Amino acid sequence: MNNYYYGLARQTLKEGMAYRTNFILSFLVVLIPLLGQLLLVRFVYQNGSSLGSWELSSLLAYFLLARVTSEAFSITTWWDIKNDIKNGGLNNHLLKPYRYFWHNFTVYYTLKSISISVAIIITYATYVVVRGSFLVPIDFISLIQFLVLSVVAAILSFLLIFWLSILAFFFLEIRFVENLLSILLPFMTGSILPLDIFPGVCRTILLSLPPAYLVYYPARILTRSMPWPDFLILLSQAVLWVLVVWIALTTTWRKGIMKYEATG
Amino acid sequence: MESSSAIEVKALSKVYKVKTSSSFWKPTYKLIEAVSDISFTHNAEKNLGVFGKNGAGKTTLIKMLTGILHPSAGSIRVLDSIPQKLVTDFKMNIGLFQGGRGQLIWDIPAIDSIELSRHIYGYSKEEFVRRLGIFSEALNITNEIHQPLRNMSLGQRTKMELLYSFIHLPRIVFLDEPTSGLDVISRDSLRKFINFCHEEFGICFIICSHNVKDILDCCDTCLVMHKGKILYQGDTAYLLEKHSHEKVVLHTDSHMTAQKIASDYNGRVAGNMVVLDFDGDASSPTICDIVGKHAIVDFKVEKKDNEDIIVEILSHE
Repeated sequence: MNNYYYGLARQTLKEGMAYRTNFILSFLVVLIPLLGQLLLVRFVYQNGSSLGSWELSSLLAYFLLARVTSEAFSITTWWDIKNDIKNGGLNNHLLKPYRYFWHNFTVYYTLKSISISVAIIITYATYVVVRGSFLVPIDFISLIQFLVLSVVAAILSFLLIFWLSILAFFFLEIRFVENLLSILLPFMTGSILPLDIFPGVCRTILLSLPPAYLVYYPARILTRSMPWPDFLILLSQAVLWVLVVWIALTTTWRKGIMKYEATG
Repeated sequence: MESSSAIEVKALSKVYKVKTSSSFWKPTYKLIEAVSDISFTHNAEKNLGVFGKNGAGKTTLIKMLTGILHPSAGSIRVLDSIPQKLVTDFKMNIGLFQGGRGQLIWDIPAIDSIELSRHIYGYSKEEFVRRLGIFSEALNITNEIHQPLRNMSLGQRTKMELLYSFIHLPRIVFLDEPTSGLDVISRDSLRKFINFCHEEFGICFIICSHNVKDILDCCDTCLVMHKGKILYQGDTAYLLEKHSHEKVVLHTDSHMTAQKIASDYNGRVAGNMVVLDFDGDASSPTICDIVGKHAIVDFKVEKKDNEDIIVEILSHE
């Protein structure tokens, strides 16, 4: 069966690269917001202001790295699952001897690998251009911590996406929730601003919710490594969220599949 | 203990809860019984066709037999499994094709997505090439199989999807409207392909179609459904024979003669012609009787077409 996921990944990659214009334009999708963020931060710091305790170079490094983690782990609308449930496409998946969750995980991260690669290329190119003014202080420990946390973030991110998508078993129309999340999530993940610059309770809440483990913490760790005990606490909190979302997801799936009307 | 039938259905019902008003505060619902307390068994050696008008419960039945829809009451066993448990052994032995619903990837050559089948069901590359050769030749798509799906006609796409649905050679394949949207030639070639796979590989097809000919050409046994109930289950040939009748068209010398014959033999008049319907082969003695008594210029005996018989059975219900 592992061969199936490998084969599926290969086909998905072919499909993802089928439209060259789309692929080329995806570079701009990464580049434009990144340039906007960098220019804004420079402008703020040139005028003597600052954001929290962040130094200019660390903040620029954070935005560069957050661009990659955001591309990799942010919660996006995954139409495939919702359409499968609403239009009956799930019928054929249910009858195939593979796991629907892992099928989608493979397709999702195969397509993501293209956009992640683009994000890495653009981020690195930008870094090469602007590195005269700052350096990303990556050390070996922070790299290890980042890689470990990234694995958990990848799983947590897809669990959240899958869980939100299978709510379509119960609610045929959840566009309002999606629109709301598309506005809130960039803030909640730390893609727009580092979460620790928010004040008081707001910061505490944001730092303890699952979206923080997707973009903020991985990018933060790369700019400033953590002591191992602190990192292990952070990692166990992320794993705890994985378990919580997994339980919510399996319960939703079990109840949802009983309600599934197999339209069509 | 292994059961003797491939499909066993007992007291099966399915009730849908359907919203009847879109009021935000007080939406109202009604219950619709799509399948109502039906029982039957079927042996995998013969193909089974399911006849019925729209809303008869055919597709709901197919979905419950495959396990993707949960019944409201009753029990189902397919290949000694409860389909709704969707165990791997069951999944390995069934296939599903729903007309108009694609499974293959749109933008890459069809052969690439079809090849995923061998990874899913775990058979060798050599075996895949062998099966693909046989299937694509039977379907006459040996060249088209290398094109992306988006460049194909509806008929070619349907053939590709059909091929993908059972290239893993399952024991039972469920076909829901397999020839929907196809032209006469494509429909005919698909039917031939279904019969070829049944004879060559022993695949049992359960076919649900509005196209009566699909079932007449491919299924020795059939179910006739109406409003969620089974009206008939058995040999398709027997059903046709039971309902077959002849139509006799008599040309008489005058309108009056035609009217007289019509009133004596319960016929229909059109000018100098009279049309009489007969069940089975009972027409001969009556025609002799009429010819002996009246001035008949000419007559014609027409046997009712099998498709018309099924249409008549369904429309009478």
